[in-house]
Amino acid sequence: MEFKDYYALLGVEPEADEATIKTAYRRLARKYHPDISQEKDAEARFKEVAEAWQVLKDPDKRADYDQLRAMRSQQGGRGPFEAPPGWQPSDGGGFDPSDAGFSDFFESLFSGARQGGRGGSASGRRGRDVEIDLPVFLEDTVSSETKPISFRLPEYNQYGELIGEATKSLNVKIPAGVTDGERIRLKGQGTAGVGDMPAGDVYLRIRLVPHPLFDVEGHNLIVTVPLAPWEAALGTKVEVPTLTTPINLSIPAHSQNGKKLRIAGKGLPSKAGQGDLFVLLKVVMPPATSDDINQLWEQLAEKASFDPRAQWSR
Amino acid sequence: MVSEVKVTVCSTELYQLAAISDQDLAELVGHGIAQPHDQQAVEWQFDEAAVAQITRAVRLRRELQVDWAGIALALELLNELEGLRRENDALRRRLERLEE
Repeated sequence: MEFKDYYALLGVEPEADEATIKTAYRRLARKYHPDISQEKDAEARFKEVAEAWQVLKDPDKRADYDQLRAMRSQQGGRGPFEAPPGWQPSDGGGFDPSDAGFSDFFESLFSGARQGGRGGSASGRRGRDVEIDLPVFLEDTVSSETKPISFRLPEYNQYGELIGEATKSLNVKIPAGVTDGERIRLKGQGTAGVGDMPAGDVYLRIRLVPHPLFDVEGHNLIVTVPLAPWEAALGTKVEVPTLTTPINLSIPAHSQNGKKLRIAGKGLPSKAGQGDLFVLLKVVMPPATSDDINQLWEQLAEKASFDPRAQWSR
Repeated sequence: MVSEVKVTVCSTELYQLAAISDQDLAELVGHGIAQPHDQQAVEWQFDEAAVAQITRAVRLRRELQVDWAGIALALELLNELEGLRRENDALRRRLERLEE
């Protein structure tokens, strides 16, 4: 496995004092924390930085690490790394819940402590919570739907060591009226606890899938309806799609482009009642025109004597 | 219709859920990061949204090494940022329908 240079990861000198290391960690944590950072590999970078911090903040762990680092540089400091035979970390310290998911390098140096050392994990640990994005179609939010979901969960042994991954499948009832970003808690469906401790929870984070026709604004829906210029001028009847069955809508004569018509109760369900559907009119020019049609436009131009930019000249 | 199920979690359960101490929970509530149903009650009760917020606050505090006041501000700004991003995405999609 690869030897990790924790000092380089934090961008500090190996002689750096605790305060310098803490400052470096804080700065990098703010830069790469996945909740904050927009950088592509933020999560991986943050894990590395957190791992380095976990070791260097702890005087015992840091001393162990420094010892191995010195040994390694005496041996030339190249090639894959193996922990020396019989290696035992000196602190033997208890399990830190934030350790999980660190590199094999970290595990090989510091996980021995969990099995034999004082504290260990014999007292148990609550299972981990898992957060999963659940894409939901708008159509599915109108009524309560049962959706099959499956996800991968890390598996730990009785010492709290990562031993693999397992796929878990569940049927989940998605309550009507869920909104984008809402979280649904599935109690006890996360990773199993260690010892007598309960399993963690699964949080489903609802992600409304963008719809080809409808836009969402709170609990209201917006549908853009294209109209020919003469339909907007003379009025017409249009069949408008809704999330359930289409409805016939009268477009009044002289409707302006961008006008919004409200259809009550055809939006998304919510705790406060049913949202509305807004129909947004979009006047669209016909594509190619023949000479005949051009003549008609010319006639219209003469008769209407309409200046759409009248406000500009003021 | 929408069925509304309110799940509440009491502070004893929360200590286990979020691995949080009594004192930290008091700090967190004091900074307005999460609100119990009744702050005067002997044992505080939180709804699920508050539990999620508390768990996140505890994790962020450990990972960013920032004090509770900083976490309160960070969470407020992060929530606002999330809302603005979502709104921005929605408006962008709507704009695309109007543009050629």
